Amino acid sequence: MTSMAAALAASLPAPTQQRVATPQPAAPTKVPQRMEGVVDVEAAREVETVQLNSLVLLKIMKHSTDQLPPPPAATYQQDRNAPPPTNLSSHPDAVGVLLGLDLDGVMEVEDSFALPSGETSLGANSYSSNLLSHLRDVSTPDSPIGIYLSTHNGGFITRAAVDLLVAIERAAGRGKAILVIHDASRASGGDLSVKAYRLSEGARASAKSKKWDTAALVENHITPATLLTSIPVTVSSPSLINAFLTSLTTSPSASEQPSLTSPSVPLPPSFSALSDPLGQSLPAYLSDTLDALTLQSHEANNIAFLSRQIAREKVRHEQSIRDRDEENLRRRKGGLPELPAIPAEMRNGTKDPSRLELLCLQGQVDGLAKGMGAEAGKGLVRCYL
Amino acid sequence: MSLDSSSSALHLNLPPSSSSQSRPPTQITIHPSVVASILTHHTRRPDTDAPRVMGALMGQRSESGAEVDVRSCFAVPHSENAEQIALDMPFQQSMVELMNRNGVKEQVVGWYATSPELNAYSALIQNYFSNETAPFPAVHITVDTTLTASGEGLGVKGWVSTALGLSPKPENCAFLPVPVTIKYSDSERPALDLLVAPQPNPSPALPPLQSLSSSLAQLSALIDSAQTYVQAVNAGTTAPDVSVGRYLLEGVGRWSATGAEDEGGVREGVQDTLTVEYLANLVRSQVELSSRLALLQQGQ
Repeated sequence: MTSMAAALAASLPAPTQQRVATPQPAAPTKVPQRMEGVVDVEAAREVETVQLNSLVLLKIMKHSTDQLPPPPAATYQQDRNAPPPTNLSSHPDAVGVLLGLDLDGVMEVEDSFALPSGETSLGANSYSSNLLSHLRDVSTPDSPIGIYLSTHNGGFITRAAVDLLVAIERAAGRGKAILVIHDASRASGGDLSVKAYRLSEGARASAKSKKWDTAALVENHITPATLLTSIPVTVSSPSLINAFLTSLTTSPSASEQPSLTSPSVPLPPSFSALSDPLGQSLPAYLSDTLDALTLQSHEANNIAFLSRQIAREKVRHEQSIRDRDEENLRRRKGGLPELPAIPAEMRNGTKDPSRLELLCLQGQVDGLAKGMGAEAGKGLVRCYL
Repeated sequence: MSLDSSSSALHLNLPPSSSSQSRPPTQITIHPSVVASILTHHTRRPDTDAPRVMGALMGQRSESGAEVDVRSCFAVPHSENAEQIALDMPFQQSMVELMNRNGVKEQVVGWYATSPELNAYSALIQNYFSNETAPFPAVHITVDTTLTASGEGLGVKGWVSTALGLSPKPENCAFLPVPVTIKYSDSERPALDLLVAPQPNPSPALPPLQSLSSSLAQLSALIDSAQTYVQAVNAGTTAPDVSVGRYLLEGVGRWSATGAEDEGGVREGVQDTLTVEYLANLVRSQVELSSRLALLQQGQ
C-alpha cells in the first residue's frame, strides 16, 4: 500500500517536462484528461514566469554568434524617402521563434528555431509554418509561444518584433506571446542578460484593433515604457542534458593529470577580467544611441509631414463645404435648384498615421540609453576597485 | 578537450598538400547546442523501444577540409528493424532547403545517431549522406545515451568512413574515429557557466555586477590557496614542484610590471564615464517626456 502511494505521489506532479511531451501528437486544442486543471484552455490566466529549457538557451546563444546577412531594407509606412542608413539599422539581429507550452501560469519553452530576417508573419505559407510541419513529424512541440531576439546594447523594440508578437498572440491567445531578449554585447563582457517580456494590456488592445494612431494610443495609455511588461525567467534542464553538462566540468575518473598548460576538463572555470573595458564598449553604445536618435527623428519628421498633410486636407474640405453652402444659399435666393450638399466627412486618404514605428524607435532610444547608463555605472565601479 | 574517454589512437594533423581534394577531416568541433539538441531528440522519440534516432548535421568546413565545425542539426524520421532501414529523404531535403533560407551559411556536413554501435545500416546511411555532402566526405557522430552507474557514457564520438573491399559496395565501409571537441565563443561562456552552476539554477537576468563580485571572490580564494601553498613550501612541509614555482613567478612578475602608473588614466576615465552617464539619463528623460506629451496633445 505504501509503495503504491509512493508510486502515485512520485508519478503525479513529477516531471512536468515529460508531460509536456505527451500532448504533442494530439492537436493543441484537445488535452488529455489529467492536465485539465493545469493547461489553460480558455486563455484565462496570464503568463507569470517563463521557464527556458537549456536547449533553447544554447540555441539562442549559438544563433547570436552566427554571421548573418544584413537585414533587408524595409520601408515602413509611406516614407517619403528611406531613412538614412545607419550602423544600427544595418546591423543584423538574430530572430527566432520559441515553441513550448503554457502550464499553470508558467510558460515552458521547449524548443526554438531561427527565422530569416524580414519575416514578420506566421501565416499559412510562411517559413515558420513550413518548418513547423516538418518539426511536427519528429515529435517536437509545435505551438509557437513567442519569439527571441538577440541584440546588442539594449535597444530591442523593433517594429518587426512587435508584428511577430502580435501574430503569435493571434495564434496562441491573449497574453501568451513572450519576447525573450538576449543581449549579446553584455554577454561578451561576461554578464549573461536574458530577459522576458510580454505585451502589456494597452498594447494588446491596440494590436487587436490594429490601430496604432494617436487616438488609440491615448485611449490605451501607451508610451514606449508601457509597451511591454517584463516577466521573470528561470532556466531548467532535463536530466540527460544535465548529465552532459556535468560531464563538461568534472574530469573523467581515470584521466591524465591536469597540467598547468592544458586544463583537464572541457569547461574550466572562467574569470572576468578586472581591467576597464569601457574604452572599447562605451563608444559603441554612444554611436548606437545616436543612430537610434537619427532614425527616430526621421520617423518623427515623417509623421509630422503626414499630419500636416491631413490638416491641409481637412481645411480644404471644410472650405469646399462652406463654398457649397454659400452656393446653395445664393441659389435658394435666386430660385434655382440646389446642389447636393457635400457630406461632412471626408472620403479617403485622411487616416491618422500609425505611430507604432515612432513608438518602437523611441523605445529603442530609451533602451540604448539605459544600456549606456548601465555600462557607465559598471565602469565607475571598476574605476574605484 | 576531448568529449570522450581518451582513446589510444594517434591523430595526425598533416599540413595540407596541393593534391588533397577531399581529404578526410581530422578534427571535428561541435557546438554544445547540437549535443543538447541530439539528446532532446532522443528523449522525444515516439517509440521508446527504438534503440536510436538519427538526424542530419549542418555546419561549416575549413578551407582544406581538415576541420569540420558542426553548428546545428535537425532530426529526420527514420525506422529500422531487422530487415531494413528507411530514412525520410524528401523530409531531409526540404529541411535543408528551409535551413538555407534562414540566413545562416551552413551546409550539410554529416549525420548523427544516438547509439554507440555502428552496423551495416550505418554504412548505408553514411553512403547516402556522402552523396549529399559530395565532394566532401560525410561525418558521422554517435552519442552514447546509456548512462551507466559507473559514470561512463554520454561519450560523443566522431567517425568518417572509407571504402572497404575490392569492389565499392554501399554496405561495406570502415569507420575511422576522429577526435571531437566542444567549441563555443566568448559571448556564450556566461550562459554555459549558468547552466553548469549547482542547482537551483540562478536566474539568467542577474544585474551585471553579480558576476564581477563572484569573480572577485573566486580570485581571492585562489590567491589564498596559492599563498598557503607557498608558505607550506617555505616552511618545508610540502615538497616543492618546480613547474608550479616557475608558473607563479611568471604570473606575479607580469602583474607587478603593469600595475604602477595607472592613476592618471583612471582619473580621466572617470570624467568621461560621468559625462556619458549624465547624457544617458538626459536622453531617457527626454524620451519619456516626449512620449507623454504626445499622449497629452491629442487629449485636448
